[in-house]
Amino acid sequence: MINKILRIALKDLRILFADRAAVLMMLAAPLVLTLGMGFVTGSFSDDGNGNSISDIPVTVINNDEGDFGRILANTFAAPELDTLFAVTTGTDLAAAKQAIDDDQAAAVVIIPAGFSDSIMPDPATGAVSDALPVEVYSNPARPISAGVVQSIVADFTQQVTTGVVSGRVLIEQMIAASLIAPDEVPAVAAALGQQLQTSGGSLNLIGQEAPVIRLNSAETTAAQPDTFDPIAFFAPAMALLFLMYTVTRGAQSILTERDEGTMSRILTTPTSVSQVLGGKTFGTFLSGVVQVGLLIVGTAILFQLNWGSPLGVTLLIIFVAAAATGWGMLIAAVARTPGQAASIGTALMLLFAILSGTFFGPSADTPFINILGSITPNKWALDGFVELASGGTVADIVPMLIALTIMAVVLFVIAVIVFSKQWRTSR
Amino acid sequence: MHKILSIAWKETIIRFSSRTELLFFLILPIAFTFILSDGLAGDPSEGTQSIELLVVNVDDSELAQTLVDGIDATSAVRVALVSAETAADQFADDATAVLTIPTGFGAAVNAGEAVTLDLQKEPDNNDATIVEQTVNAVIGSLNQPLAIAQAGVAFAEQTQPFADTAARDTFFVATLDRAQTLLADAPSRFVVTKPDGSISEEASFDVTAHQSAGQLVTWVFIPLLGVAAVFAFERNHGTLRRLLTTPTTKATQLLGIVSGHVGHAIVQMLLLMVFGAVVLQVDWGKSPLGLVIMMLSFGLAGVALGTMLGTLIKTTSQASSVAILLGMAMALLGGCWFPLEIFPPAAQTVARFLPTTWAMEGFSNLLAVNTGIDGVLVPAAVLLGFAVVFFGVGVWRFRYE
Repeated sequence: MINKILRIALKDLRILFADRAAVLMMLAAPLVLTLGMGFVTGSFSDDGNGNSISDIPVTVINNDEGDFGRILANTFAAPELDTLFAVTTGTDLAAAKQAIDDDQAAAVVIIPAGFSDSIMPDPATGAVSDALPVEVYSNPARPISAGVVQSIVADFTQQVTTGVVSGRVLIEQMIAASLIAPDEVPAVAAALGQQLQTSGGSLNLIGQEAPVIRLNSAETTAAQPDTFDPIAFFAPAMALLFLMYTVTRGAQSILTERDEGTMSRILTTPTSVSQVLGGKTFGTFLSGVVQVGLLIVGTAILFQLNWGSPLGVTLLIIFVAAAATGWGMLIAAVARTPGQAASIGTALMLLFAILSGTFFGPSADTPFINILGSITPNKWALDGFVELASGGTVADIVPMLIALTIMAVVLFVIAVIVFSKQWRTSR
Repeated sequence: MHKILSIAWKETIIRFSSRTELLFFLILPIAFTFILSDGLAGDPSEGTQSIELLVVNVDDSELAQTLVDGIDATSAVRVALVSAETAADQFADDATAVLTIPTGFGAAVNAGEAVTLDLQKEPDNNDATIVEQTVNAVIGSLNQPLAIAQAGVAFAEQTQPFADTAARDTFFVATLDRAQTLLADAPSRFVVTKPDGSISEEASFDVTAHQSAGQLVTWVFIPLLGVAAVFAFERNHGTLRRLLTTPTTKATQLLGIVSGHVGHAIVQMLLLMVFGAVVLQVDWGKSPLGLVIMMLSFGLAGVALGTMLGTLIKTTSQASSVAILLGMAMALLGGCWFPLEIFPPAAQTVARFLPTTWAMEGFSNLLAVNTGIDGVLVPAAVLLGFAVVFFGVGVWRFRYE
C-alpha cells in the first residue's frame, strides 16, 4: 500500500516540476518578488540600515533678517539631520515652487520677512504684533517627506509660541501677584524678549535648565547583535505565498484525474480510492516541501541569509507544507471543476497573503486582521521563520508547529468527510 | 465595427462564464483595498506606511495616556503598546524605537518634578530620527504650560521671593491655568500650502487614497496581462486559424479582443472608484475628464503588453503564470503598494520604465495633487507610448498558429 502511495506521489512530483509554467510560479515568482521587496525596502543598499527616507530635498527661503529666521534655517542643516535632508537655501521663490511642480523637491520652507519681529515684543510698549506664519509649501506627490519637513517647522514654531505665551503669562501673573508694577512692564518685557531671543525660542526662557518632561534618546544596539534583515521576512513570506499555488495545483490534479476518467481507470486496477487519494495528497505535500525547501536554500545562497537552526527550519517546512496541503485537499473536496479549484486556490493564496502581512510586514495589521491571520499557515510559519532567523531555537517555534499540526489535522478530517460524502453520492 | 463588437462581446461571455471570475474582478480587489486602507481599523490616519513606535506604558495616569494618544495621532508615527519584555524582544529583532513611560510619571509631572522618558532608538536610522522628532514635538506640547508655570515661579522668585510655599503654589497654579488658556488660543505660526492653493496644518499621507489607486492599478493590470492567455488559447485550439476561412481580418480580430478587455478594465476601474468614493470617501471626482484619459491610456498600455506577451508565450498556463508574476512585480515596483518616495533612488529610476508607475502617477495626481487634466497629460502620453510600442511588437509577432 505504501509503495503505491509513494509511486503516485513521486509521479505527481515529476509532472509538476516538469511543467515550466508551474516552476515559474513555484520558484521564479517568489524569488523575483523577494528581490523586488529587497529592492524597494533598501535591503540591498550600501548602508544596509533600512532607512526608508533619506536626503529629502528641501529648499529654505529665509526672508527674515532676525535671529529666529536664521535659527530655523540652520535647523535643517544641523549635523544630526545631515542624512535626512538635502537642503538648498535660496531667495528665488518662483524657482523653488517650480521645483515642487517638477517633483524635484519635497517642500519649500518660506520664512516671511518680519518673522522675528512678529515674535519679539515691542521694547517700548511690550506689545507683540500679529503672528506671521512660516509657510511650508509641500509637494503632494511626496506627502511623507513633506510631513517630516513640516514636523521640524512645527517643533520650532511650537517652541516660539511657548516663549511668547510664557512672557505674556509671566507679566500678567506678576502684576496680579503685585510682584511688579504696571509701569515696569516694558522693562520686564524687554528682558524676557532678550532671553527668548538668546535661547532661540527654546523653553529655557529664564535659565531653567530643562523642561518638565524630557526625552532621553539613546542609540543602542546592545540587545541586537545583528540587524534583522527585512529579506529574512519577505523571502519566506513569498515562498509561503506561492506554496498555496502548489497545493492548489495538487487539488486541480485530483479533480482533473476525476473529470478525465484517469481516476476511474486507476480504480480498475488493484488500487483503492484511499491509496489514490493518499498518493495524490502525499504528492502535493512532497511538492510543497521541495518547493519551500528549494526556496529557503536558494534565498540563503542568493541573499546571504542565515535561517538559524537547520532542524527548526526543516520542521517548519514539513509542518507548513502539511497545513497548506490540508487547505489544498479542502479545495479539492469543495470545488466542482479544476477551473473552480484554481480560482478558489488563487483567491485563498492572495487572501492568506494579505491576512498574514506578506506584502507589508507583520506590523501593518490590525487586531481583527491578526485574528483572521491565525487561520492561515502563512502567519504561523512566518512567525516561525522570523523567530529562527532572529536566533530562536526549536523550542521557540513549538507553538507554531502545534498550530500548523492542528490546522493540518482539522483540514484533512473535513476534506475526508466531504470526499466520503461525494464518493457515496457518486456511487 | 459590428464584428469588433461581436468579438468583444464574445470575450465578455467567455470571461464571465464562471461566477468565480467575480472574485478577481471585484470581490478581492475590494477586500484588498478595504483592508490595506485600514478600513477595518476605522481610522484612515493610521496608515500602514507610518513608522511604528513601541511604547511600554506602565503608568496609568491620564497624562501618560494623553502622551500616547498624542503620538498615535500624528501621521508619521503610530503607537504599538507592548510589555517591556515584548519591546526588548522586538527591538532586538527589527523595531525602530522603544519609548518607556515609567510608573509615577503623571504624578511626578503634576507635582512639578522633572521626569525623563527613555527612548531607545536604532543608530544611523532616519526612521528613528523621525520618531524622535515626533515624540519630542508631542512632549513639547505637554511641556509648554508646565514649563511656563515653572519658569514663571522661578522668574518671580528672582524678582521678589514668595511669602511662603502656599503663595508659591498659588502662583504656580494660576500661571499654569493661564498658560494653558493662552496656548490653546495661540495662533499657528506655520501653515502648509500645496500647489493647488489649498491650505492646511498638516502635510499628511493619505493612505486610503493611495491604496484605492494602487489596488485599482494592481487588480486591473494583472487581467489585462492575462490577455496573453486568450491569444495562447486561441492559437493552440486553432480558432484563430479558423477565422482565416471567414471574412475577418487580423486587425478586426485583434481590435475585437483588445476592445473587449479594455472595456472590462474600464468597467472594473469604474466599480473600484465607486467603492473608493462611497465607502472610503476617496475623492475620485475631481477631474472626470482626467479620469477618462487615464482609464483609457492605462487600459490600452496594459492590454498592449498582454498582447505582446501573448505572442511570446506558448501555453495558457504559462500566460497565466507570467501575468500574475509580472503584474505583481510591476505593481510592487511601480509604487502601487508602497509610495514611490520611500524607495531607494535606484529603485525609483527603474520604476520610471514601468507602465504601472505612470498609471499610479496619473491617478495620484488626480487624487492627491489635484492638478486636473494637466497632471495626467504626461503620464497618459507615456502610457500611450508604451501601448504603441507593445502593440507594435505584438502585431509584428502575431501569428495564427
